[in-house]
Amino acid sequence: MSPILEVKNLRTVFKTESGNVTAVDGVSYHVNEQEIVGVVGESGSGKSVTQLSVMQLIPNPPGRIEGGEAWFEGKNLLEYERNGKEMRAVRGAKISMIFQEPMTSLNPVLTIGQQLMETLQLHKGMSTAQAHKRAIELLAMVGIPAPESRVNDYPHQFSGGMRQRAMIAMGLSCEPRLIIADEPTTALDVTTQAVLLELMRNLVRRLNTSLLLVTHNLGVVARYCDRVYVMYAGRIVEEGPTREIFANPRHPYTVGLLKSMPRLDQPRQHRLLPIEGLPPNLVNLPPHCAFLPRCPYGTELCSTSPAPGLAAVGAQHAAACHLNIEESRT
Amino acid sequence: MSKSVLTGAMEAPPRVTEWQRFRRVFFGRKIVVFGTAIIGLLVFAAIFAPWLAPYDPVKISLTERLQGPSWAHWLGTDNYGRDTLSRLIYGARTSLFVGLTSVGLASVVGMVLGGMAAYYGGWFGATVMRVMDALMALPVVVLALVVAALLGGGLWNVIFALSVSQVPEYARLMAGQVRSVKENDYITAVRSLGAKDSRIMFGHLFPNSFAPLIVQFTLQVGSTILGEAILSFLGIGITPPTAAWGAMISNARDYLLQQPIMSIVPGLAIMLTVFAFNMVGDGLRDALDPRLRGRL
Repeated sequence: MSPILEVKNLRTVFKTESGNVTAVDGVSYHVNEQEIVGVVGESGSGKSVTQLSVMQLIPNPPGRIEGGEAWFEGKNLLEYERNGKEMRAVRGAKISMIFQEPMTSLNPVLTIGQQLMETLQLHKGMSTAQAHKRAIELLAMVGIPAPESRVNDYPHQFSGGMRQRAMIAMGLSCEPRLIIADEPTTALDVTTQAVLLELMRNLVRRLNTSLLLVTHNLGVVARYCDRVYVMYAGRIVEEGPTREIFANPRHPYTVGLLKSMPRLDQPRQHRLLPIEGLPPNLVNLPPHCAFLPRCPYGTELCSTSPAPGLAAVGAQHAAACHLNIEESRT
Repeated sequence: MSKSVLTGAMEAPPRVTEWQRFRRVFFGRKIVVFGTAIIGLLVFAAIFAPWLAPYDPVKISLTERLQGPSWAHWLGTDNYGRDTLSRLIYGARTSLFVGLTSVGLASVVGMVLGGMAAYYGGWFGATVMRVMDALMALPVVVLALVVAALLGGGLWNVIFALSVSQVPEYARLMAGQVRSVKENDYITAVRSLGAKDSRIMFGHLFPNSFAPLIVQFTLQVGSTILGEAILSFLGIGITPPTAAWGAMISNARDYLLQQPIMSIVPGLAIMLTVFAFNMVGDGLRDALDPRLRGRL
């Protein structure tokens, strides 16, 4: 398996009134062919900004990609002009995105069909009739009943789940090589979430596409992802195969995340352990490890030495921590 | 997932099309129906003026000067013996043409300028909007007066003068709309699918920014007709002998006591027209209110 997307040392900065916010700070990751990769982290950890940066969709100003590379099909995407021809040829056709809010991610004044057709006509050069036919097929593929009539509906006539199905259909319409799904099910209710994630997994397998799943739901990661990146304060703090990370987390933040998640095999009385404190303010990140103020394992070494980089702790498993914690799951 | 579960959960409510909903709200108020009827009547009069008018509106007949209403001249005649009813009907033509054309021109130019300024932002947007602000500081009539005074009277100069003075309003309105609409997720989503700037602007941003402009458009037609009347009244608008309501009042003011109907008739026509456009504008605002979308 070779990587189809390889991001190296990505750094994205936002200029704000209170100072420069380094939302993404030297992030490197890759996605292999036909792999489902998870990116987890809490709100503000930079997981969404990372993905938007790769697609050069960061609003500029205030955002700016200050460094890094994003290799895709032998080309560095970040060298392309922001809204230039080459970048547009990648978006939607080679890499497509599915966003968090199905309620607001569809244009309210165009029908679902028109929005599906737009991408098909743009990237596949289809005629209106061909695109219309394909739009109906796509809606059927994502499980929308009566697609022949539903294709002429406006987004407000669709429920949240159906809109997200339509978004998935749009994302898949040009059979991209990679789909970046940014919390695709967060805004939906739990049963719909499960149905849609199953649907996405099946479609991704069928179309031989890779999937990058950005989420804060560890349950989703455990069930669907082959590998996981854990992000904290704009950095990747741990990476590895899902099984390995869940069985043997090596970064205190990952440990904390796992402890704060309810589990079926725990006794009923077992209390969830939240991670104490708040995520750091990204304007003034400390020179040392950003997790230190919340870290239950912090030592003298942690506060005096600079923030640690990722270091291998096993095969394909790396963590950014000075300490070699061995925390068995409780 | 079984098919029955899917279809059961997604049964659509009975359909009310956007158009049906629009009509129901729009024609729900009697005053709006009244306004629409007046505008309909005006449009009808303007289109079929040559067949409706009993006399040639510019034919001078000095023997029939300053007559009151009679069977021959329903609304009397003016100081040159021209038939007031005929001039009123032809005047509708002038008024509507000036109103619609200048508002049309102003809104297209204003929307494109304001839309682009808001979309691209930066020094380009700032420059455009500051120029608009500067123009806006001048009252519409004063600005139109200056343009009309510089260029002289005549139909097209009046249209130009009235358009220029209205561009800033549309530009500002559009810029505000685009600025808020472009932050929507679906704009990022469209961009993420590879659409280019022009497509995003004209295909996605503008259609979502129109609604308040349609209302503004309708309201402005009324005040533009008033503006044309003002310019014509002041003698720098439509040049005689072309029939125009403002010019008719201007002409009639010397005979106010002798033959008051000469001023009253075009005055009423202007008032009713402006009123009708305002009512229709109000009706449109209610009917296009996005908060009502999907209800009823």
